[in-house]
Amino acid sequence: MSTAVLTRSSLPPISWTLVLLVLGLVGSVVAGGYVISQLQAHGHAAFHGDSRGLFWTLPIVTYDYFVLATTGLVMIASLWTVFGLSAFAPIARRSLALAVASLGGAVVALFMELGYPVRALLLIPFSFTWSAPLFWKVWGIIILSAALVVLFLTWIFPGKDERPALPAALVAFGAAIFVAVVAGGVYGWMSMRPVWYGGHTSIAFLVEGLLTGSALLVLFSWIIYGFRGEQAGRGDTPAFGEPFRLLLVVLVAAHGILQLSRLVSGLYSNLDGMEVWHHLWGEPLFHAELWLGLGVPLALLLLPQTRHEAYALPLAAAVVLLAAFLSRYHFVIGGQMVPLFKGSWAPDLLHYTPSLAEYAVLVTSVSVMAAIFAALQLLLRSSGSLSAQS
Amino acid sequence: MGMMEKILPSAFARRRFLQATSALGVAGAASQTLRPIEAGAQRTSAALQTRITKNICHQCPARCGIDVYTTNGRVHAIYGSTEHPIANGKLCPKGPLGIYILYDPDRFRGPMRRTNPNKGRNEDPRFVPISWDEALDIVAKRLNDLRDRGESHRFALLYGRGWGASCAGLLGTFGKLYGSPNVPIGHSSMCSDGSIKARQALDGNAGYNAHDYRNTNYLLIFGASFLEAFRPYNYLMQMWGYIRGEKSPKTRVTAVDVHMNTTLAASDRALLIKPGTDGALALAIAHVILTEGLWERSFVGDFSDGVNRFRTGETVDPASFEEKWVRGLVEWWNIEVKDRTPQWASEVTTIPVRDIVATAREFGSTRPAMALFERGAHAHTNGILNAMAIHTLNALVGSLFAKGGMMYQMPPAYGPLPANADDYLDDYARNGPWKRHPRIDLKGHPDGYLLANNMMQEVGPNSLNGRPYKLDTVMFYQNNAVWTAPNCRQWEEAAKEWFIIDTSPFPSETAMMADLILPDHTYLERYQDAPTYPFEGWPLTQLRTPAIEPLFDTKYFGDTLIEIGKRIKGPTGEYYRKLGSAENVLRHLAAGFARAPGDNGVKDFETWKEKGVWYRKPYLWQQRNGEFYEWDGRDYTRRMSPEEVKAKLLKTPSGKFEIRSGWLEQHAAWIAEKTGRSPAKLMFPHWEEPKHPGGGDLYLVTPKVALHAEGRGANIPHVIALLQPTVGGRSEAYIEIHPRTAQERGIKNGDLVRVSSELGSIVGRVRLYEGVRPDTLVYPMENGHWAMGRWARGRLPGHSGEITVNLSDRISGQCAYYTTKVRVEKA
Amino acid sequence: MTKWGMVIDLDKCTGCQACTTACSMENTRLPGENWQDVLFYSEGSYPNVNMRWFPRPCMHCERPSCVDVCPTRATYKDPNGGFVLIDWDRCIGCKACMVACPYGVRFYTDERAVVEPDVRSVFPGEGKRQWSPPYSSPHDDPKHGVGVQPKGVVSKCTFCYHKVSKAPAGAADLDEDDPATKEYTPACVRVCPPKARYFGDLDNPKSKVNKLIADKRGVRLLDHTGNKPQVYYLSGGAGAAVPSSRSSQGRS
Repeated sequence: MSTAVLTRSSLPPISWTLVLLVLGLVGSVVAGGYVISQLQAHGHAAFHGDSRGLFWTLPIVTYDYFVLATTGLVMIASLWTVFGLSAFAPIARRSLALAVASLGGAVVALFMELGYPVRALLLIPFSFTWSAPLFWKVWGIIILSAALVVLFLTWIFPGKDERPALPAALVAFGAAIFVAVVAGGVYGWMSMRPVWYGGHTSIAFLVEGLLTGSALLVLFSWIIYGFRGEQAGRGDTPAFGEPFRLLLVVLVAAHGILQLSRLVSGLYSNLDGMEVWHHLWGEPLFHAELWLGLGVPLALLLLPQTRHEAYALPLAAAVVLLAAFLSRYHFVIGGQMVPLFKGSWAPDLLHYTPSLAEYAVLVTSVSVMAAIFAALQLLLRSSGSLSAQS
Repeated sequence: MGMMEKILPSAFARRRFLQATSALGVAGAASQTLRPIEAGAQRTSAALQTRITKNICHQCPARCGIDVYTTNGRVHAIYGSTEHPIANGKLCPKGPLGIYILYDPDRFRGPMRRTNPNKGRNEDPRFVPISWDEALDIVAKRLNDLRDRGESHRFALLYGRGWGASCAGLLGTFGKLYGSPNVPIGHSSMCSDGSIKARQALDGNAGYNAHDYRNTNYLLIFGASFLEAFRPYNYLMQMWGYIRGEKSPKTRVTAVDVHMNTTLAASDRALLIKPGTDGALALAIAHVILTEGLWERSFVGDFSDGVNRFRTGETVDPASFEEKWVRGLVEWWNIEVKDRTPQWASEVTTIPVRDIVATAREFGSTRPAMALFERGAHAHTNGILNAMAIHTLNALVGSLFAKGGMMYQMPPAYGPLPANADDYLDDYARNGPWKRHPRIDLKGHPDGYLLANNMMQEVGPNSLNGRPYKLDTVMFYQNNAVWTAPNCRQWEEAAKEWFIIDTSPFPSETAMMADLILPDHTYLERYQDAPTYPFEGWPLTQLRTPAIEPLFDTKYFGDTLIEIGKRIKGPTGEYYRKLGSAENVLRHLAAGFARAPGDNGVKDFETWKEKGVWYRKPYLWQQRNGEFYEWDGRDYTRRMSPEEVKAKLLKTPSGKFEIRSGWLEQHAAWIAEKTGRSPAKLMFPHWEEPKHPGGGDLYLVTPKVALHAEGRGANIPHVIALLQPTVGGRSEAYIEIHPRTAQERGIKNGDLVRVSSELGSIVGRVRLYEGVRPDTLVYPMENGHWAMGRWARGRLPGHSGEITVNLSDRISGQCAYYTTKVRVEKA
Repeated sequence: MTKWGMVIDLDKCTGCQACTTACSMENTRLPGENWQDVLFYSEGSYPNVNMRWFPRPCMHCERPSCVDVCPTRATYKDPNGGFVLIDWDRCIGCKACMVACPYGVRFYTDERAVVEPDVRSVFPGEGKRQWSPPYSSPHDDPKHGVGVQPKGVVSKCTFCYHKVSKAPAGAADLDEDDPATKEYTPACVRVCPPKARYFGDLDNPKSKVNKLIADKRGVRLLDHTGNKPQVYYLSGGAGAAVPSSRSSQGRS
C-alpha cells in the first residue's frame, strides 16, 4: 500500500466535520441538558433502576459500550504504532482521536449515572482496594489516558509520519487490553451472577471492543468523508479498504461465535439465573441483534455482489454498532433480570424499560463523542498536523 | 390549644384553612408539607435527651403496652413495654406505626365547619376553621333543639374502637341522660358478634374467650387468622413461639381457612374449606369424637354403663346418658350429629375425608385442646350455627375453664365516677317521647334483630328508608361507617340527610361527609384508659399517657363528650360539670385500685401513669376433671357449688354448657318465624346451607392481614409497601385468584379485572395464586379509599364494601361479610 | 474479638414482618427500603400449596463479596464486631456492591419511590439527607451507614450498629429479655414476638447463638457462594442444607 503524501485535495472535506461538530454540540446540549434537568428535579428517580435487581441500566450499558470502543480503537491504532502494520498507518491517528472521543462519551454517561462522580475520581485511585475490579479498571483508564496524552503531544499534534516512540504506544496498547479484560471482569468475576460469570466474559469484551472500535472508525471516517467512502478511499484511506473489510469480517465472526457459545451454554443449563437466556430467546429484538447482527455484515462483506460496493463497509459497520449495543444491553440487563432474594416482591423476571432520561444519556454520549472527535479533527487540521495520513 | 397554635395563632389558622380546603384536592402540596425538623437540634447534641413514656398501641384491640421514645420533642420509636403482660417487650408489625400516625401530614389541625352544602364523593367539604367553643356550641344547640322538640331519639352516636371508661364508657350514660336510644350504637355487628352470640347461646357468656394458650396441647383454628390478625395478635405470636418452639410437648395445630396464609402454612395441617361450611366440618368432628369415644367424660358425662352407644345413623336413648356439665348432648346427637359423617362433611366442605378424620382424632385425643373460630366461620348467614358447632367441640373435650383451655375475661377494679348518673335524670330522661321509639338499627326489636347486641350496618339503610324513622344528627367516634359498611354507597346517600359530627383526626370518608369536625388527638397525645381485650382472664387495664403535647388544636374525645354534656340543658349539664374532664374521670377510675392494688404496685392514678398498666393475677376459677374450683389465695382448691358455677361461669338457665341452648329456645317462636329454621332444631348447633347473595359464581372473602388489622394503615406508605407479602402486594394489594379460574376467564397474572356483584363493581389487579380456592377470590380488607389522605386515596383494589351485600345473621346480627358471591372478568 | 451473629428460628417465625417494621422505624427507612425483610415463596398446586418464608437481614458475611468489589472502600468489614458497614462519605453510588451481593440486601434509594406520593417530597431533606421526617431517628452516623442517608449512596442493614456497638463489653448475647442488654439489642431481634431471633457472639463458645446453631441445625443460606454469612437459620430436624466446601476455613 502506498504511503505517498497526498495533496490537500484528498483530505476529508471540512464541511462534514463541521456538521458533525455542530450536531454533536447541539445533541450534547439538548440531550445533556435534558438529563441534567431531570436529575436536578428528580435525582436518579429519573432513571428506571430498581433496588429489586435492576441496578445497572441503560447508562451503564452506554458507558461500558464506549469504554470498550475506546479500548478497541486504541488496539487498532496499535496495529501500526506497536506492530508496524503499515496498512493501518493511515488510520492510526484518527483511531486514537476517536478513542479519546469515545472515552469522553463514556465518562459523560458514567458521570450521569454515579451518585458522586467527582468523589469517585478523588477516592478510587488511592483507595488501594486490590480486590475491586473497578479499582483496577479506573487505574487502567488512568494509565491509558496518560499514554494517550503522551501520544497526542509527542506524535499526533506534531504530525509526524513515522511511528511514535514505542513505550507510549506499548503502554497504551497494554492498557487497552487490560481495561477491556477488567471491564469484562466487572461482570465475569461475579460468581453470584450466572449469566455473566466466567472467564469468557473478558474475552468477549475484548472482542467486542475491537469490533465496535473498528466499526466506529469505519462509520466516522465515512461520515467525515461526506458519505463517499469509496471515492475518497481509493487506496488512500484503508478505513474503507481491504484490510478493514477483513478485520471486520473476522471480528464479526469472532463476536458471533462468542455470542452463540454463551447462548448455547445458557440455553442448555438448568442453573437458576440462566432462564434469562430462554426469555431472551423469546424476544424478537434479541434474535434481530444476534442473527441480523451476524448475518447482515458478513453477507455484505463476503458476498461477491456486495463486497466491493461503496456502501458495504459503512452499512456493515452501522449494523454492527447497533447489534453490538443491543447485545451489550441484553447482556447487562439480562444478567440482572433474575432477582436475588426478593421473594414475592419480585416473583418473576424483572422487566426494564429505559426512561426518556436514560435514552437521553445515550444520545448525550454519542453527541459528546461526535463533538470531541470533530473538534479534534478540526484542531489537528488547523494545526497542520492533519495530513492525508490521518 | 395545640402547641403550634400557641406560638403562631394567626399563621396557624391560615395554614389550617389551607389544609382544610385542600383536604380533597391534589393541589396545595406546599401547604401539606410539614416543616422539616429543626436543623441540628437533634443531631448535634451528644447526650440525646430521650424520654420514655407509657402508652397503649392503637392499631388493634389487643392493647399492647408500649414504651414511646421521644427525643428533643420528636417521637421516633415505639417498642413493646417489657413490664406489660400482653406486650412483654414485643410488638406486632403494626406497633411502630404510631409514629407515622402521629405525624400524618393529612391530619386535621383543629375543629372545622363545613361550608359546602353539597355532600358526595367528589364534593370538597370546604371546611373552615372554627374555635372549640364555637364547635361545641353548635353541637349543643343542635342537641338541645332536638330535645326541646321531643326528637332526641334522632341523635345517634356511632362508635367503633371504643377503648374504655373514659371515652366509650361515657356514652351509655350520655344516651340515658340526654334521651336517645341511639347513643351509643356500637360496631360489634360489623365486627365479630357472631362469636359473642354463639358463646352466649351455649355457655351464657356474651363475650370473647380468654385463653390459656401457654398450657394447651392442641389448637384447631377455624377461620381465625391466628398468625395475622386474631387477638391479642402480638401476644398470640409470643405464645406461638413458646408452644411451637420451646414447650414440651410441642403444641400441634390444624388450621382451617379459604386460602393459604401464614396461619395455615405454619400449622401442622392446613384445611382449605368452602366458605360458610365450617359448621359442617365441626359437626363431623363432633361425630368422630362421639363415635370413637374421645369425649372428656369428666366434664361431659358418660353412659351409665360406660358402653358407647354413639354409632353412625343410630339414635340413642337420652336416659342412658348421664350428663355432667353439658345439656342436650344426646338430643343433639339424635337430631343432628348422628348423620353428620366425615363423608358427608367432605362433600359439603371439599375437605378430604382422610383429613377430617385425622383432625378429629387428634383433637379428640389430645388434652387440653381448644377449638378457636372467628369471622371466617361465622360471617355468613348460617354463622351462629357454625360458631355454635365449633364452640361445642370445646365442651366435648372439656376445655371450658380448664388449664390449657378457655375462660372469660374479668373486668378491672375501677372506682366509681365523680357522680352517679341516676341522680341527674330529669323527667324527659325518665319518660320522654324518646322512650317510645325503637333504636334506629332495630336492635332488640322483633322486626329487626331481636337478639343482636348492635346492628350498626342497618343504621344507614334504615334511616334512608325512614324505617323506623330518619335520623337528624349523627356523631361518629373511631368509626368510618360511611365507608366500612357493606353497600357503602347506600350510606353515602343516608349521610347526605344527616348533620354529621366526626371526631376522627383523619380525613376519612365519613369526615368528608361531615358538617362538623371535632378532631381527637392521636393516641400518642392523650390520656385514655383501656381495659384489656380478652386475654388470660385475670383483670388488666392500662393507660395511655401523652408522649408529647398535642401537635394541633385537637381534643380528646372523652373531653369533647363531657364538654358537649356540660352544654345540655337541665341536670345533664350538671352531671358533666361534676365529671369535669376526662382526666378527672380517669383519676376516679384509678381510685378503685386502692382497694385492689395491682401486682406491680399500681394503686392510684400516679402509679398507673408511671407503670402504664394495672393487673391482678390470677384468674379466679379453674375446672379440673369435671369439678370447678375457686382460687383460695394460693391455689384452686375451693370446690364450687353448681349454683356458684351458674352464677359466675356457665351463666345459662341450667348452669351448664347448653348444647341445647335455652337462650335460643326462649326466643324459638321469633327465630322460627324470621329464619325458617325448624323449631325442633333451632336451639342446637346444626347444619344449614348458607345463603349467598350477589349473583356471582365466586365467593369473595376479605380477611385482615398482619399490617392492616383495623384499617388504620391506609394512609401510611410504609404499610402499603408491606401490606401483602404472601403474594407481593407492595404498592397495591392484589386480588388472589386461582390460575385455573383466571385462565377460564382469559385473565393473566397482573391483569386489571372487574369484580362485580348485584350492587356494582370494583377494579383491581390480580395475582394468580395456587393457594386460593378455585371457587373463591381473596384480597385484604379495606382498600379503595376515596378519602383518608394522599396515600390512601384511589389505591387499588377498589373497596369490597361497594360490592358486599348487606346481609346479616338474623340471630347474632353479624354482618355476613364473606357471603357475597361475585363475578370476575378482565377490566 | 467479638463476631456478632444472628440466629433465626424458622420453626417459630410467624412471618408477620414485625422485624421489618421495627427496623424501618428504628433506622428511619423509606417505604419499601426493607433493610430487614421477610421473603415469601410459594410452590405446589391447590390444595397442596407449600408457602414458606424467612426473614432476611444483611448477612454480614465473613467473606463479603460486597466488600471485595467496592472501589472506594466505602463498604468495609469492621473487625470490631464483624459488621459489614457502608461509609456514606465515601460511597459513590456505583452499585457494584448491589450487583455482588447474592442476598439482595442492599438498597439504592436514589430511584423511584415504591409508594406514591413519594414520602421524600412530603418531608424534604434538610442538609444532605434524602428526607427529614419528623419521626426521624436521632441517631446519625454516616461513617457507619446509620441514620437517614444522603442521595446517591447505597444503604443496608447495620445490625443496628448504633446500639450493638455500645453493648456492654464481653456480652455473650444481646437479649431483649435481659434488662442489661435490652437497649443494645438490634430492633428486629428485640421486637420479634415469637422470639424467633437471637443475637450473640459467634466467637464466644458460651453464647446462646452457638448453642442454638449446634442444637437445632443452624444453616447458612446460599452457602455455595462462599460468602459465609454470620446469620444462621435454625431448621431443626436432621438438616438438609449442604455447607460450602470452604466453610470451615478462615478468611483467605
